[in-house]
Amino acid sequence: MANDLDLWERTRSGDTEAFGDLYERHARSVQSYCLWRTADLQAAEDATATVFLEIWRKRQRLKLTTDSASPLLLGIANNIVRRHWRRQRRHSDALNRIRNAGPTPSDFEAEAIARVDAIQQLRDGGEAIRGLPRREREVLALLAWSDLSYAEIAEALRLPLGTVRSRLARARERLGAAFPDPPAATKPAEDSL
Amino acid sequence: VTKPKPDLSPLLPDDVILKARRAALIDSVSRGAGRPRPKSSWRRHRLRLALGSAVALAAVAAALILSASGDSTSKAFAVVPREGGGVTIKIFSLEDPSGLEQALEDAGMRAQVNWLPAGTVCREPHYTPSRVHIPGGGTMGGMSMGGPGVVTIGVGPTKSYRESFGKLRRGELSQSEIGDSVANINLDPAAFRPDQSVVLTGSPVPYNGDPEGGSITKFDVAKGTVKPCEPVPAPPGGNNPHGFPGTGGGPDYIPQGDRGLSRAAVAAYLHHAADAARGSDAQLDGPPRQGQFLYTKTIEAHLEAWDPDGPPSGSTGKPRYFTDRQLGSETAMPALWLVTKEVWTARDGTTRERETLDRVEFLSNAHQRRWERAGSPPPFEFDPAEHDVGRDGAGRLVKDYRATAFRGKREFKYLARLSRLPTDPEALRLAIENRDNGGGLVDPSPAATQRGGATVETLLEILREPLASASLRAAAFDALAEIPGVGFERGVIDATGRRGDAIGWVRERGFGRRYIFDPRTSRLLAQAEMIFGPPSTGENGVPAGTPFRETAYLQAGIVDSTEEAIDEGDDGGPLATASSTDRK
Repeated sequence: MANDLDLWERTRSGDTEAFGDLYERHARSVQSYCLWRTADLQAAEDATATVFLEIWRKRQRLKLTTDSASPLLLGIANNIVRRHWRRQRRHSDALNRIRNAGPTPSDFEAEAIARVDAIQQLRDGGEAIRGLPRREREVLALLAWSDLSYAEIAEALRLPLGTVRSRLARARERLGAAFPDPPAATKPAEDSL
Repeated sequence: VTKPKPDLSPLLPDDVILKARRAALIDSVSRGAGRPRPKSSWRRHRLRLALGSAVALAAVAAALILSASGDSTSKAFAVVPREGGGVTIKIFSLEDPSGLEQALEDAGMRAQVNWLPAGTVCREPHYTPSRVHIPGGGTMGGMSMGGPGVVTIGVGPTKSYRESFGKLRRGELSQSEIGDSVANINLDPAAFRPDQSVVLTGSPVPYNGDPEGGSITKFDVAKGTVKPCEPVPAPPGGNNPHGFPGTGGGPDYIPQGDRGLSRAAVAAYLHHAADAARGSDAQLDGPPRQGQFLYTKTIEAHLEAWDPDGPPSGSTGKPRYFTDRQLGSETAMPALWLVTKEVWTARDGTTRERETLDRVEFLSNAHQRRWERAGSPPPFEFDPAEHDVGRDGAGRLVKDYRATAFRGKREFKYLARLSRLPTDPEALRLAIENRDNGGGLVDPSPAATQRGGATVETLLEILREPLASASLRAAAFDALAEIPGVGFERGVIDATGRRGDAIGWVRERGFGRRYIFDPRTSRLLAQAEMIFGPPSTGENGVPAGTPFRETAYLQAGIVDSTEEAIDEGDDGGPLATASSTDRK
């Protein structure tokens, strides 16, 4: 299976299938992150599609500096969630096509309830983080709601690693007990605070 | 805190949807998403709007698009047994309707499956829509599905379906492990009353550049007798691109016009316009021949707001672009920006399109001066930082690009269907309503009803086509005159200042639509999405009667090259459709 670096190089040369593979590989994790940030299914789906439309549009200028495309994608997702209306407008036709693609889930009550429950849990679970000042919120959101390491968060937000650490420390101070546990299993040891 | 993370799987796309979105994404970027958006001809714009409203009505009349792509040797569908009882039918296409009917029947589900030629629908009345009560709660009726991708229908007990679905959702089994046990639609024969059955009706639609590359299918639950489907031509130029019954009219449709005019007066004005149409000879006599182009020139007005005091956007913290999202905000300054759009469409459906930013007109003079003092920043669509924009000799911003007409290669084949419509007013109305007049008279439905509203809208769409013949246009006006309750108003001004008569209606929240025509020539001058009243007036901070999007039709004709236009003053040629009252 091709790695992200290969897929990205092929995408840059205009290979839409490689681009499609990247989408299939990362769309769910991008959408999870956007769901956490927005607690809104429609906004998260549109933001996810916008992330991929944007990396395609800017493929000549974007360089992949990590083995995984996750930091690049989540960094863009972060910006799009921050000012999502503007980019969505640029892609509104394409977004409509993507949004309407694929069978929509049937209207079984059980599924609808599951979706409503999940949204409610997202709202409750993300409340503390969404209340932080932007700089701290963005760092902590990536830590709590994606599988990125500290180094990858720095890469995604184009920040020095030290800044990531200091913002996290401030967020921890502010949140106290409400500070979320990082998904420790995926973090290299050198990245612990 | 160590609260367990919520399970997001109900909110994430499953494999089927992920594949479908991947295909749609690739399709979008292949068409050039991200380049300056080739805003298309008015015909295409309207079709998109129509598609949007069709999707909004999905709960009632649902559609599923299946990709017809794939190996031509594969079967149209496959039946696989399902864990826990029943079967899953994987439908690749509906091209074997009787086989699929039999498969559903064998699984215990009465069904009618129809596969229709492109551009046709079943003659109405066909069946009565209904809903099924699902064991354990919930109901199911017509369903909305989009493509491309395989669509699966499960037939079997709801209980086993729910168990499988629960395992998938809780992550106990993955999508691949659970296989086909969780279908897109699950039908439980035990839930259907003896008089209920399923109707699947599909026909090809354009997909991925291929005019018949995809298909659209309505899934519905029927009550009582389902008549055999007799294909009849779908109304051309109708507001539904797939030829399914129109989305016009309905409980929210309120004719908008001058209440001081009696029904007889409105009918007289419309019959008068029909006479003008009959006497006119300024028609296109056909589509472009090889090497020729259909040239159209329109002015499009867009209501947007400039909001320099809104939150800054982008890393540079620039003021907000013009946007229609901010219309209601405190600091937003509403303006209409007008663009002259010229389109040359070749016989094969390829186009050259040129858009020139005409002017920006703020609703308030104070706002206009403030914008000018700020250096007259252009709307987003013409921002040189975002789009490939040049300047013409007069210094106006211009975008010039190549694109494809909405129906691609079939652009003119489709329009040729107009020439086959009856030119007797009543026969025309019955034809676009898909009704057989059976030798007897059928009175027109009032404009405020579902059928009547759809008919008014379809007749106006026919009037908008530059290729509609004089006799067809006359029949359309005569048919409009016979419909009770049409919203009619005299002396309405379009975006270019031309005066005419208008037919309009309010759809929802004070939003509506208006068509303006010149009563002396019967030519359509403009069509607009309008803000007619509250609550839209308040929400958007504009007075009643403000157009939200307006297209004014200036010229249409056949030319020999994509450099050639039709002179502004050339009103006489047999090709021009602009009225001589054009004002610059």
